[in-house]
Amino acid sequence: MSAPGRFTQLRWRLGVALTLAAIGLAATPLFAHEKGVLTLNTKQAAPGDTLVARGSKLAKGAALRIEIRGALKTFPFGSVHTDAAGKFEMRLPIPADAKPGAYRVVAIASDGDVSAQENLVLRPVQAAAVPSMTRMPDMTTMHVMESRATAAPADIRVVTSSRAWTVIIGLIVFALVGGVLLLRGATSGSARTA
Amino acid sequence: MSSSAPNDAGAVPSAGTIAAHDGVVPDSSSAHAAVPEHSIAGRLGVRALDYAIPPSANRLPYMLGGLTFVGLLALIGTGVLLDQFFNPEPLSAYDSVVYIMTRVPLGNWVRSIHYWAATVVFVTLFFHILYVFWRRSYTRPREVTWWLGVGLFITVFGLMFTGTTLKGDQEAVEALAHAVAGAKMSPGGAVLTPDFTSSTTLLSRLHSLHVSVLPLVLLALVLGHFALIRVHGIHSHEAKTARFTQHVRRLTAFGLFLCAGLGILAAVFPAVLGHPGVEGVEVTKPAWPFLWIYAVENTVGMTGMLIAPIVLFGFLAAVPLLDRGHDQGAGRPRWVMGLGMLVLLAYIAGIVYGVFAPQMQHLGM
Ligand code: HEM
Ligand code: HEM
Repeated sequence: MSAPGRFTQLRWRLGVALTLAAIGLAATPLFAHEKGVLTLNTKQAAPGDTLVARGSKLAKGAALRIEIRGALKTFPFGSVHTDAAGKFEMRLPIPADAKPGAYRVVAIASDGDVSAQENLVLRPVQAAAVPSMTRMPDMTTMHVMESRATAAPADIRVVTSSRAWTVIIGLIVFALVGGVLLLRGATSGSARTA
Repeated sequence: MSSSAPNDAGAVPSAGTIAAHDGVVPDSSSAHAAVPEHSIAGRLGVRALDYAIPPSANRLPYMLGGLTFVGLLALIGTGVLLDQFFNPEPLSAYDSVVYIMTRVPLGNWVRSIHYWAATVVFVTLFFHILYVFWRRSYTRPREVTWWLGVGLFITVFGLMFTGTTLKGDQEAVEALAHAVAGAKMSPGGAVLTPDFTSSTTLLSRLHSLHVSVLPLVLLALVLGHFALIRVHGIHSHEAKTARFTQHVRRLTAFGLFLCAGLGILAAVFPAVLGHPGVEGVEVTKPAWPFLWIYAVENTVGMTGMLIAPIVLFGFLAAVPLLDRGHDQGAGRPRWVMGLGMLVLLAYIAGIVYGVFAPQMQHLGM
């Protein structure tokens, strides 16, 4: 086989090896932790309700931090210790000012890893009174707590870090320079063809 | 009359068979040498793209379709990123958009690119349709290319609409109420009503339409559209003195400029989000691509949201049937052009009226 041919083959093998290594590395965290089990007395509650969270299949005698995590707010509930069987039970009074939405109740080990978790939906106070599993929430129940309708944009404070600006400007410059280089190549290419 | 225009069907004679007297650059070995078999490009089959095309295909007006495609790719790319953080559970949709804007690194920028790409796609698509209509590129043998285009136009409207319903602000809640009202008026529309099933929410079904069903339909139609363009060749009477690889190169360059433009627009004018939506009231107007429908709704009530699209898309679908001549044939039917201009004027007038019209309550009208 000619030298350039061998070189190309080498490049391909190297490419495949690197890709496999990258996939392997990316998949590692998937296997990193054994998960415990967390159950709630109900998966749908309202602000002001008290939940009962039960953990099992966890490390024995371990200290765990319990939190209810939402997209925009996290409610900490302090620590709990698992018993000799790796179990715990804890009451979680949900703050009355918590916003309706999807949340996760999480048990966090001392190294910061989530040991167990369960989903929780907080319904608006009125809607939660409807004892129905047959009708899932639709837009009718959405943000009933919000006051009046308005077409005005919400005043949401977005902070863009200097690092983010660097990436944004970098990508824009990259696209512009790439475009110019390609156009120059295309022009000289067509000149050659003509 | 011949059934194909110059450079029409069979427009791409195989390598080396193109006659020099046609003004076509012979598929010389030098052309292929540019993409050697052993190179990565060679292995990826780039040589298959190295065929002859008319030089006009490299002009900007002929790139509008390609630029629309680049815009769609940007939408799919940014859409996939947004969807990693978006929560289609109705109670959480709004919060997850606020989360994207405020907590996800570059989230606000990516969301704004998605918004601006949707807007720009409408502009390039509008001019693409106008240009192919003006050149009568819908005539034999390109009728199906045109009809697939009409399907694409409808799908892009569907994507814009379902996208708007996702964000959970006032505009979204009103768009969702319109979707339900429209669905109730249409045969088979039950699937777009909250009562269709109790196992999931309407919002989550619209989300699945937006992120999987409609993008798949879009890609299938785009493939068909492109395949037919390849088969029939581009509608031009020039000699084929350019190469498609040059076209791809130029299009990529313009595509990169388009992406840079989107990046700048997104950074300077980020997409806004309204307040959390309240049901049962109408205080917003739809995004500008829908204002012509809004204008008809203002005039005839809720049925306008069905009548207006039926008239526009119906007219577009009928165009190749109304103007059945060959583009080479004598007697360009001016009345089809006239009708087209009339529809265009009505469309623009509808949008302008929509911008200035007073906000009106349509639901229940
Ligand atoms: C290809 C054509 C597409 C169009 C025209 C389109 C259009 C839109 C529009 C207009 C919005 C509302 C933007 C706003 O005002 O905030 C939106 C939102 C959204 N789109 Fe798309 N989209 C497309 C494709 C996709 C795809 C392929 C995905 C995901 C795989 C996606 C995911 C989303 C998500 C998660 C949102 C909600 C987040 C938000 O509003 O910022 N989109 N889309
Ligand atoms: C997502 C939307 C669309 C994409 C990505 C797209 C893409 C393209 C591309 C790349 C071309 C070849 C170059 C050019 O003329 O620009 C083309 C040609 C064409 N398109 Fe589209 N198009 C879209 C929508 C439409 C629509 C809405 C129509 C008409 C209602 C349409 C009708 C045509 C016709 C008839 C041609 C052939 C033109 C010729 O041969 O010169 N397309 N399209």
